[in-house]
Amino acid sequence: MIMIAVSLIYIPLIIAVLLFLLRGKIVNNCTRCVLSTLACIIMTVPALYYYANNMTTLCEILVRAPYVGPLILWITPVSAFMILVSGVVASAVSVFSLSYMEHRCEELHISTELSTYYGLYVLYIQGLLGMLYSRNLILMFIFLELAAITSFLLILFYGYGNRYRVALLYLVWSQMASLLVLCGILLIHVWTGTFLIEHVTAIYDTTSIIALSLILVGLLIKMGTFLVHFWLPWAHAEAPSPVSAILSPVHIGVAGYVLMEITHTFYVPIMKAMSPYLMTYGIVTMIYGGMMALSERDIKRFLAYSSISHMGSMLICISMCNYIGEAALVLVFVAHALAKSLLFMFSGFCISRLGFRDFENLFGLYDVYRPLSVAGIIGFISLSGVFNIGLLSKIYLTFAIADEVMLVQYPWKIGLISIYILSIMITIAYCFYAMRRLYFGVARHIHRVRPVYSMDVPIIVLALLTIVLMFPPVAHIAIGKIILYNFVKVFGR
Amino acid sequence: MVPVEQLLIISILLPLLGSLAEIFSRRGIILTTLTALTLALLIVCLPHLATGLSIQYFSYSNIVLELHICRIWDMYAIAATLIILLVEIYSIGYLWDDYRRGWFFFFSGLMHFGTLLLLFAGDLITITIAWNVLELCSYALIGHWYRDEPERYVGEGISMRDMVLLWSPSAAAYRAIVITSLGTSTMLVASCIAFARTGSLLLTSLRHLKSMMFDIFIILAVLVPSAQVPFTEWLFTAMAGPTPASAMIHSTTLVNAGAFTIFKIGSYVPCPHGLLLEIVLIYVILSTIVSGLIGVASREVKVILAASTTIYVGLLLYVSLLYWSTGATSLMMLGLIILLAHGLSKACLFMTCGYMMHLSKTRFIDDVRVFLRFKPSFVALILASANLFGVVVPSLGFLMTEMSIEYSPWYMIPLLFTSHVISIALLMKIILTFWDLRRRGVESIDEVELKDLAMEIPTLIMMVLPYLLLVLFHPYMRVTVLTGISLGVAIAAIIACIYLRDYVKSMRIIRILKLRLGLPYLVDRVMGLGFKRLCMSIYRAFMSLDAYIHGINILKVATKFRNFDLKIDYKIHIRLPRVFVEKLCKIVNMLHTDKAVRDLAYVGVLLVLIMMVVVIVLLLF
Repeated sequence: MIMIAVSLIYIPLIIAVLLFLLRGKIVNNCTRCVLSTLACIIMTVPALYYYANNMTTLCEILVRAPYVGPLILWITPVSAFMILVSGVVASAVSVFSLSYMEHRCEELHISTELSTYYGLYVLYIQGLLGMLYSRNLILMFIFLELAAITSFLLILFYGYGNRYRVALLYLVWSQMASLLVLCGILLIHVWTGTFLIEHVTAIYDTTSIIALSLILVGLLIKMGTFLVHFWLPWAHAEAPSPVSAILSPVHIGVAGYVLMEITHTFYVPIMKAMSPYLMTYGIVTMIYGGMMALSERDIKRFLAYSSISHMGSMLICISMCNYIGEAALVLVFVAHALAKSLLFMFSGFCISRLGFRDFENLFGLYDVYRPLSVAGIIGFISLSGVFNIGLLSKIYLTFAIADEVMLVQYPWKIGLISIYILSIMITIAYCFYAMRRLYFGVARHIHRVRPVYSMDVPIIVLALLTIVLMFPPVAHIAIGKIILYNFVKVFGR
Repeated sequence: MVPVEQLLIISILLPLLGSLAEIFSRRGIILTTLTALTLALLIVCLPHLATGLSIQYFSYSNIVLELHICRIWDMYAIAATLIILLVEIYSIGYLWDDYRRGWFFFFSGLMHFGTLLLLFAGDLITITIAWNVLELCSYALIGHWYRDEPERYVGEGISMRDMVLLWSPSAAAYRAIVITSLGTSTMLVASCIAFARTGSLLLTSLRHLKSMMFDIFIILAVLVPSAQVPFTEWLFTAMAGPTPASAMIHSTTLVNAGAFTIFKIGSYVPCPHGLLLEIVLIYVILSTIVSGLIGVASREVKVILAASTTIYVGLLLYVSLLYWSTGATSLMMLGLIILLAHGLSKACLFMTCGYMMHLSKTRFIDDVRVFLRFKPSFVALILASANLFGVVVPSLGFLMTEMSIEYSPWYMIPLLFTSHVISIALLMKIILTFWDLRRRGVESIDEVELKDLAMEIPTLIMMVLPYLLLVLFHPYMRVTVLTGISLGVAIAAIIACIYLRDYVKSMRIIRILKLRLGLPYLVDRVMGLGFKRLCMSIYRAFMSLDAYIHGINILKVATKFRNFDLKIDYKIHIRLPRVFVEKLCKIVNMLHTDKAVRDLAYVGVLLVLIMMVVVIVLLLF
């Protein structure tokens, strides 16, 4: 069976090439948008097939390559839900891009034909979803690089501010990370003799520890956690809004998934020993991101710092090797992906249709354009974890933490829980602070705007999804599958 | 046979449905009808709930969420629904010309849903979700007038050091959500600790939970929404919302969430160490005294009412904690009586006073110039207060005072009396002011409209209900020596209030109490602004570090970032680290021309193509 290969690699590749080639007046931007959305949807078809047939795992061998071993594409319960949500987000963003990018191209005084943009976009999504699909570490790395380079090019071509420097900065940081990850992967091969993600019975030696530290550092850079996050606010704030809407929630979230997949397969005992330290680091990242977001004055940088904060909570999930940690990770990813891409698109609305991106000028938006403001409010509420899917992810995250904290010594226990409560409060504080600044008051300097359906509908759809996914059954079935799968995995050992 | 289970589920979902419908219809009529239907359904189910009923609505391995409904909780739900229904009818009239009606009714329906969810919860996570719903709804209702008009502000405008006690609706809503989020997150953590300890979330399986951490977190959590002393501030500024919203938040929903939760947990979880609980009991009553004194000093009608709310909510919390320690079932009934007596009277007071404030366009008690056209409104004020004072013998308020004294340990009785006297003083302040107005004869309004009727009828019903409903609770009436003493104390307090009024006004302590013990300063300046400044300094430090990593002199950055102007095309020069590859720096310098960009783009595309080739080669193998 070659379903994943066809729908993940061949068809999107053909579509991307077509998009690059069909320049001029052969097709219009609308067709390009449809093509790229179609590619995004096709890439999620295997996950749908997986759920429809109620499978445990879906594996297929792409090819048996020399040295590298079999290149296997697979779907696990953990990745399936992430693929589905990333696909939905990517399709929504693809529709959103149409009028936004035309506006951006006009601003940049370049041709408004979006063939390059959509071609790169499809390749970018392919890279991101490929990471979720692949079981072979080398294949995973190739997709990682594909995503890194295409996103670099997108920032370079269409970014804001001093985009050349920002793009290069991003390229250097991400290549540094990739290099570390590559070295780590090769060392893992030296240690275990395989590139496949599967349980091995090798004894931990120096090589394995070096490999772990390289991969950890590399992927933490990719995730943008505390002290290795410096590239993130630049790249996320200066990228064009649709690219930020993918870059911020999905890209760094997928890096977290890769880290989880590698550490939970090869390094379970070590991760268990490291768990309190990594958890503390995660909580510190959460608090740091929240504090920076509270003092930020630019809406996109604000959202970027909030992403850092959420990567902290993702790191907390990664740090625990219990059966609930992975479920929490998936939920945090999903909640963050939906809410953050919604909000980045909302910031795109502010930039392109209102002409402002700083909080000093953005206020009283509730009266300016009602539907999108309500969608934005729903996004903020979901992001803060007070309600919607965010609440669900917060509950699972706290489950996982409480499960782990019970094993910690007493004074540590109280300290960890207290700073965790503080971090939740800061998250709520910055979300509602932003809402207070954005929506309250009367804006006399902004005129009411007219609807642009290609921009409004994706935002509203994502806002509805954050509400719908909170209630059973969709998310609950997915989470149930993950918990069951992890039970089997844990007891299988 | 009545399908009780289905009916109960429908009755929980009806408010949700109504609130969704109100987004589009915006008049509040659908929601009110559905709420009335909910009330009817709950009453129909009451006789069939002799044994408890459990409805599992989510289960996966050991995570089981369920609703657990028994007779007493159904009675609580009926009481809450009754009050909310009356408030909703009132708000149809109150918000007739408002600019954001739909969302108001949406959130009041959602709040009703949250309350029902909390009352019927059978596990800790459902309780937490209900708390979150209530927290969110109270945020939305407090910040209802989102345009932040100056006449919607709360606070007396007096200055305390460098801050002015004046808050816009947005600030009030923000304070409310941030402070109550402490309670919600603590509650979440506590329930997860219980899960980690016992492996189950159901309240019924927590019988062997002995965890000091759980107890401490729960007690901390319930103090926050109950607005006990360090956390009173959110309730005092929660007045920025419309009157019906205040009536709803104060009478049944968010403020009582803590007490409801303790009643729920107290039925199953073994009570915490005796000393801890006794300290908490004394602390709660002391905190009601302190917050009551704050209210005595205030000029704002709604703040006075809020202070009175903290007293009764503290009483309810106290009773629930007493229930946790003793397990006496009649305390649960006492909780219901307090909910009804306080909820009805307080909502009635809010509505009467709120209407007068609404007409005279002021929030200060001295500035009221318009008196209600409708004569019974003053009667409503008197009757509702008399119910809370406990001076009229056949009333729920009397029963409440009497029973709470009867079940208390002896050392609590003086404290309870003190807090009762203070609550009397609070309401007497309002009554006496209006009495003066009535004697002076102020202007009145004569037009009768449908919307006025919608506001007056629920007020009247709320006025008489505390007296009528005593029929249901008469078996609990008992006359002892303490009853006589409490009656005497109440009457003495009322007389004292009338005669000592001017003397109290001139007391110096009033000036200090006006500043609310410095709590606004603590919340806004020390916690709020102090934290903000901390954030800013960390922000600056990390910005400089950021710039240093990317190769800029730190001193130059400091000046540059002070005038950090974030516009769409802001130009910030980021230089790549020199230690990094020299060649990259050369490319950076080249990048200022478009040609170089194109070159670089080709390099990028080339890289992608190489990747593709690698993939294809691998595929061919």
